Amino acid sequence: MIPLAQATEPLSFWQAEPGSTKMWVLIVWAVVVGFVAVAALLRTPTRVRPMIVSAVTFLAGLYFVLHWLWPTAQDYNPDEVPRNAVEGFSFWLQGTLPSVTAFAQSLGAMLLGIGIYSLLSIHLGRLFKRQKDWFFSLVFALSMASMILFGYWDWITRLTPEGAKAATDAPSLFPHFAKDLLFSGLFINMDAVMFSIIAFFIFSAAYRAFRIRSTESTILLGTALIVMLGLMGGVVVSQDTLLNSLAKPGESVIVDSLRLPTIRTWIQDNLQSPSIRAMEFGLAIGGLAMALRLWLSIEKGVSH
Amino acid sequence: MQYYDTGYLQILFVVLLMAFILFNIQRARGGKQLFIRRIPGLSAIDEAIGRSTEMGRPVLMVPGLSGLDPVGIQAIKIFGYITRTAARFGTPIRLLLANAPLYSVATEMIRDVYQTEGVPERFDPQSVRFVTDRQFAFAAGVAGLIYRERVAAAFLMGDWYAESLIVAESANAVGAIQVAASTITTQTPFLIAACDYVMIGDEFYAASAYLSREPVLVGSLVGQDWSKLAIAVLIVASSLYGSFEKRFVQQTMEWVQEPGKAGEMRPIPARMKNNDEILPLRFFSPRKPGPLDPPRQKKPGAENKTGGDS
Repeated sequence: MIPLAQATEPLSFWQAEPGSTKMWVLIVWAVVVGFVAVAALLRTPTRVRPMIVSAVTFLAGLYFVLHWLWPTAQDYNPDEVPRNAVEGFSFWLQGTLPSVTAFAQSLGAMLLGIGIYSLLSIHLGRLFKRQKDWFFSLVFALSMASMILFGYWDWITRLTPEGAKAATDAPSLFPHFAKDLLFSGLFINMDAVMFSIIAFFIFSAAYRAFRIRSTESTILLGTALIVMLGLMGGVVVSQDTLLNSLAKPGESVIVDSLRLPTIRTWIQDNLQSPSIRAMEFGLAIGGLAMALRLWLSIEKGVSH
Repeated sequence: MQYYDTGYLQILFVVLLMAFILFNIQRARGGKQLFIRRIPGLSAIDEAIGRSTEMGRPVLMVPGLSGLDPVGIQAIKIFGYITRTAARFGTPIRLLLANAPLYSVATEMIRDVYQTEGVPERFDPQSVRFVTDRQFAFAAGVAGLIYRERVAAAFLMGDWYAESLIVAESANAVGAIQVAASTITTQTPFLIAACDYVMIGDEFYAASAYLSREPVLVGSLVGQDWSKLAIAVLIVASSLYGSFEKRFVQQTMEWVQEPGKAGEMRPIPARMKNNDEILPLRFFSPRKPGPLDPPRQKKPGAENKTGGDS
């Protein structure tokens, strides 16, 4: 059963049903327009190009700045009539946001093609010239080709409602099985292996960092030891048993302050959290300054 | 009018910070000499490149998982300065990226550096590579290159997540000098443990100003310092006022409206204020919206969109 909201949601001018002819026409049309725009920019005099780029950057940035600055209409509903001009502009900003972000995504998708070209030029070159480690390039080329082949085969068969139902009812059908085997069976597991390796790297990095070489590393070692011990159930219970023989919880402020979880919480709340927040403030302001320079085109390239 | 986001003071404060930055950029452009302190990690750049040149091994630069955003652009700018020094000495470079749009920009910026240095023939298009946008596949790709080419210096700057330690430890294993900076604060401790030099927090953004001494960047950096000072003053003042308000100003009456009876003010037991009742927090928090008054009209034809399941 298809939910009503999905069934009746009208498609905008920029949207099309998956797998429909209109979708393919729009894709081809967008690619052609993109190439024409790039060609036009390349034919523009060199001194004019930065001005065009700056203007486009400013307008694109202005849209998002307005989205942030303009009062946001409460309970936005595109089926309702805004009550005044301020609300009307907010409606326009909210209504156009999906299309604007989709445009940015399309641009990213086109640039992904350049990334794939980079990969292929490096690996196919190495493979055909039989350079050092060409075998790894062969593995890469085969993996990429099979993932693209079975990924698209699976995607295309799921485009129609009947295909999607068949994929759910019979996941053992060849394209679905092959794609699942490659993605869930191999890729995800290899991802997990790489993630697991971090445990060993943490150990070796911690060993080097915690060697007592200076005052700072001694403080680091001591603090880390307390935090780690305060998280270890067995150590905490043993220490509690020992301290409870001196004073029950709540009886002595001094004994309670010596409990590992209390010290750990104090370190995390009063030393760690403020330090992290201070760094995040600095990073946020640095990001704001950088974004501002990019938006206003006052950030120069590295060659200046 | 009722709007959901009524935390206007937040917006006003950010606009003030933007004004600080723009004002100082203008001041620096006007010729005002501004001071930047030394950043040890950046002073090590020449040492690391010199070592790579002597050993005849490449300099590795990785912006982590950064995309085409301020973090990614900042990382590429720093790499541009590193590349400039490497280009002068003819030291090979490797710039590995996990984001295709950033790869496109980085390729052009690095090519531009070689052209500006007058050695365009030294630019190898394969020295700037897009690896993959999957996190651990990227980590595997970078670690593989580190071991195969035995890089002599590694610069890890940008958005680093769990893959940071895989890359940093691999570079350490081949004896590379490492300079790192992460905008992800949870990864900074890992980088401190594994690398020789680490730029902490916004030192990452200070790097390009430090390296280039360009007035716009130096002015921007001073503006950032003003902004941090403003935030620090606000935090201290708010904390002091909040402590005062919470401890000494207690709410003792509240409005009670029972069904069928007239509302009245009744005394309630004296208590400390909750955090969300304190003035500085209310200043910076959006007001909760009430019902729309007056309500909006439906567009013609919009009423027909209600009904049962299809």
